[in-house]
Amino acid sequence: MRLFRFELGKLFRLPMLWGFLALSLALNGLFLMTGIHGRPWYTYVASVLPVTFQRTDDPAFAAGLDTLPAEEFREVLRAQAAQPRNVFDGMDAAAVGQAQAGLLGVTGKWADIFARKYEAYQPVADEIAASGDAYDVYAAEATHDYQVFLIGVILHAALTEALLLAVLLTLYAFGCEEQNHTDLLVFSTRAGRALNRYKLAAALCASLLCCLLLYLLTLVPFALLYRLRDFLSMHVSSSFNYILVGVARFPFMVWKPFRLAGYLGASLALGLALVAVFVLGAAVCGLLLRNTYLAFLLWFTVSVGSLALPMLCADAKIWGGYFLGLCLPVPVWLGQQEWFTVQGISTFLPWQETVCTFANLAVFAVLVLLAARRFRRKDLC
Amino acid sequence: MLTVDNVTKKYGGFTALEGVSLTFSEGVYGLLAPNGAGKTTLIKMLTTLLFPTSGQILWDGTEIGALGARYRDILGYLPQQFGYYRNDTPRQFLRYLAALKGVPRSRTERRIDELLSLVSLPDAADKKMKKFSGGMLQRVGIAQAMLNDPKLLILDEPTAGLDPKERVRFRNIIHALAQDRIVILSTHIVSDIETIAHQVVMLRDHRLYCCEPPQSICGGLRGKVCELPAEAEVRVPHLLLGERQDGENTLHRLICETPPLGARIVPPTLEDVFLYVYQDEEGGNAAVSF
Repeated sequence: MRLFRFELGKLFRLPMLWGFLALSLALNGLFLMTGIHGRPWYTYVASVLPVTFQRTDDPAFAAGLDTLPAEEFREVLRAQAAQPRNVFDGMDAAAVGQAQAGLLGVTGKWADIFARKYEAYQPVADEIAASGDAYDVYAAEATHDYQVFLIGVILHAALTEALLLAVLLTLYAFGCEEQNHTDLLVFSTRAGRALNRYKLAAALCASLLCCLLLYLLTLVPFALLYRLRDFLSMHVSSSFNYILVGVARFPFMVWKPFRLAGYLGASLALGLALVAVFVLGAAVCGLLLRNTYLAFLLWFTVSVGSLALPMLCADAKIWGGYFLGLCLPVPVWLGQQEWFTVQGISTFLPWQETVCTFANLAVFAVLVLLAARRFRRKDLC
Repeated sequence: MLTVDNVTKKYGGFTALEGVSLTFSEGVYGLLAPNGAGKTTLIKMLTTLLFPTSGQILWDGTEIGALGARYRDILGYLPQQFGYYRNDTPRQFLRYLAALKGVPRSRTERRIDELLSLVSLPDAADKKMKKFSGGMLQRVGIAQAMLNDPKLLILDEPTAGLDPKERVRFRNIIHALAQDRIVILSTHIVSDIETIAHQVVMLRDHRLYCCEPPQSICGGLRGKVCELPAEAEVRVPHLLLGERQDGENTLHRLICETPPLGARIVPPTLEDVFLYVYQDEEGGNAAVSF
């Protein structure tokens, strides 16, 4: 515990850490301003919810609107909610899958696997259809923009920064002894090479704390500016919400009926798990190379490679490689905006991002163990 | 007791040390060899930073790799290149090292104060080390090596950067410490070990050359080291060891089988032995052997 605290202290005393956090928050502040044009609408919809309630198929919705003062936004909302739709009602998930498979051009065994994902989705679609979650007004026609802004821009920015910071902190934790020429000293003490355990624990803890801090300091201003609290009870599978595959729109097909609060919570939690994956990945590089800069170069090369792999494999119609590439941490991070949905052509399995994140955690944990084992037998020159 | 048993260390095709066997018991051991002879390699193996390619190193009969943390628990080490965290104070740095060495928290502060006094740094205990001179840093290095009161103290070039006064002080500290522990002192500064080493270990051509008391090592050259005026002609094979000023005269110090006419025989020093043993590697005069 004493060593863990010392290692943690080393990381939190780094000026780079606080500089990075300050820059990230400044950048996120700029991102927060990019959605400002939609704010009056979000504010209006949020403000009328106490009288309209959230379902457009509920007669109370139209009645509630009638009680509000006549203004342009009221009429726009009335028009958008005039014909309540349940996009999940009668949904043929297999047909959706075929349409998406056609966009990708996937064939053979992998086309069957892809089709099975949609077969597995049919009961979920039926459940959402029966519940009427899709009637939720959410932010009406601006729902997609709000969802993308919240998850795809703001949360994605915070997570991206947290992941990058996690990598830098971990690489520093494993490389700082060589950088300060203290490696011979510390590894010849009683703690010896086992010190790496404490370094990993400290890097993990610091990275998760920084991630939580970034989440907090980014989402709180978002919540205050864009009335997040008023939308938290909305179902994300609202008919107004959709995802884009190529240029085609598809319903927001989540694997479980999520309200925005649950969806956001799950995204935050999976983001934390992904931070842990990145810490473990960076720890492997740090243990193998010990030099912070070289280890970063290795991590960067592997990350860019893992980003390129699915694209190259898709072009070459190597579907096994495409699938494997999509399971790697960087593509999982990149798909954050559509986490917990069927994700169109970017996944082959139900809950793929979740399964892949935890599989990556297990794989990288094993890799860290192997790298640490190698380090224990390595000459330290 | 520390035993090095027929240890060889190779880096690819390069042999850094070959077939070295040594036994260390309480006292000061001076590890004397020119740069590149394998001193640091041997020390890094003794500190578990390197692993022997063949042979084994034993502490009280057990292989040090098998002892692991139990062996490192009795080890104090000052590396040749002493690294530190620039923004730490000596006290902060020693606290960290104390934690790494498993010094109980209750004893840490008292031990740090004792050691900072021992190395004459109590006034600088809370100043950032980035402002320290080389000598001050080296003293912090010596203090950290002593934190766990080690039974085996290994110091690699410990007097580098120390001024003459500090070096004398350091020698006295080492001498006092060696009463109940093994101290291995690696250096190529002969005067550091001449007065305090019980045994001198010399390496040559990556092998053990000798491990004997200084008097015994010097004894081999008794009657062969002499001084004579610089202008005197020397017609016998010899090795020029150096020259010194004696009043207005310049004297040459040389080593030869039969001292030339007019030469004054002087007692050999460890430095003479060093220059004689490593004459090929120093590359000055033609090789002379007796």
